[in-house]
Amino acid sequence: MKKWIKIILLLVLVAIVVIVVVKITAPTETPKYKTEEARIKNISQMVELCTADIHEEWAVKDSIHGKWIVARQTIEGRIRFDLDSLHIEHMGDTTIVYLPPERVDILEDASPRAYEVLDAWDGRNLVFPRTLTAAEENTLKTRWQHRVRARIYHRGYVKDARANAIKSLTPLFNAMRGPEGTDGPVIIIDKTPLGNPYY
Amino acid sequence: MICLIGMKYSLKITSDLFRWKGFLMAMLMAGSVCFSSCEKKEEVQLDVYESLREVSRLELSRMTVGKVGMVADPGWDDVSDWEGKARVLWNAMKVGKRIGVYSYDTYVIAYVDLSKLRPEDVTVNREAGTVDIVLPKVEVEVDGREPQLHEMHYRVTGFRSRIRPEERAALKAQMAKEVKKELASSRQGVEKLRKSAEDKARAWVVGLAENWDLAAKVDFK
Repeated sequence: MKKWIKIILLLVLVAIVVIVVVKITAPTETPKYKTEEARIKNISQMVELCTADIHEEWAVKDSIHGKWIVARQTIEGRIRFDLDSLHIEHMGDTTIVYLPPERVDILEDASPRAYEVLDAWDGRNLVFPRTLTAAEENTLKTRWQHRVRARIYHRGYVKDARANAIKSLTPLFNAMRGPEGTDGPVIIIDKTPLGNPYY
Repeated sequence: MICLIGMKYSLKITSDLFRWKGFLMAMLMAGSVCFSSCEKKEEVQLDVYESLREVSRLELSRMTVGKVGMVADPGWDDVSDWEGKARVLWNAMKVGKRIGVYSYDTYVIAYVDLSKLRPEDVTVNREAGTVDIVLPKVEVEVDGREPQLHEMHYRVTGFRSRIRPEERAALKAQMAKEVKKELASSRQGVEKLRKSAEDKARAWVVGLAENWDLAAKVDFK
């Protein structure tokens, strides 16, 4: 009986050694990246004024649930104004145009090397490290988008974009007719010249 | 006597002067009316041109392009070299499956750069109440891509290792390379986007000109 227990124990030990050796010596996964042809999802129309174009490359180190990542990302930021949703009021023969809230779009540059992971590790478990999941990585990327947006406001890009928008639109609106078809004065009002980061 | 003759002449000269003065005044008035109307016509033309030119980059249409990619084990036929074939065999011996399917969107924008408008592109006819505008060509460019990569399917079982962020980034890089190529070769899609932008630009300029009491005819270079 004891002999059988010894044999089983030996087999388990051998199996453990084999698994450890395989785990250590096995080459890393060599995946194949298969892709489907790109498809047009939709085409939408709008009238938008783009007054700022921000191109930025940055390195970022961040963590979520104790999992760390160091990456390099190229950002494309644009500040836009929707001219289809302009709010126009008439007071007597005066036309009042309100500059709409800005829309700050933060996207990743479309070039292949716009996002590169330089390092990723589990800061909590060194023996059985966990991998950063796609959902966690997306949460981090959304956090980075917010950071870039905050930086755009902080650096005054939105303030400049709003001033540029008024400069661009003033000649256009000055030529507008008043409510009774008269050439009344046109006033362009910017309620938030610094922009609204919480919009 | 001499004085009387002098008076007569002076009266004649004065009356002649009055007659000439009247004629000159009429000429000047007519000239000024013509000048002011010509000036006004040019002013209107200049106003339309200047006000449009100042707008600069006007974005009119956006296309969303979706791309799906997969991280998986390579098959026997996917590799040609011996090292690759050895890896395929090695993967086949591993316990479990390893598949991840991901997608992301790329945004393509169509716009008109109105700063490229030239004075001769705008012709105002006040009498007819029309304006002919030849807008610059609609330009198409990639606006950017979604930073997030959406996981549509994930199946890693057995002793297989999880899909790492480096692998997802490599997949996205390959997908981006292909999107770039496919957009360059997809004339139909780009033309559709351009046509949509032209329609929107036309409608916008016509609406704008109506406010200036002008009926607009819009063409593109």
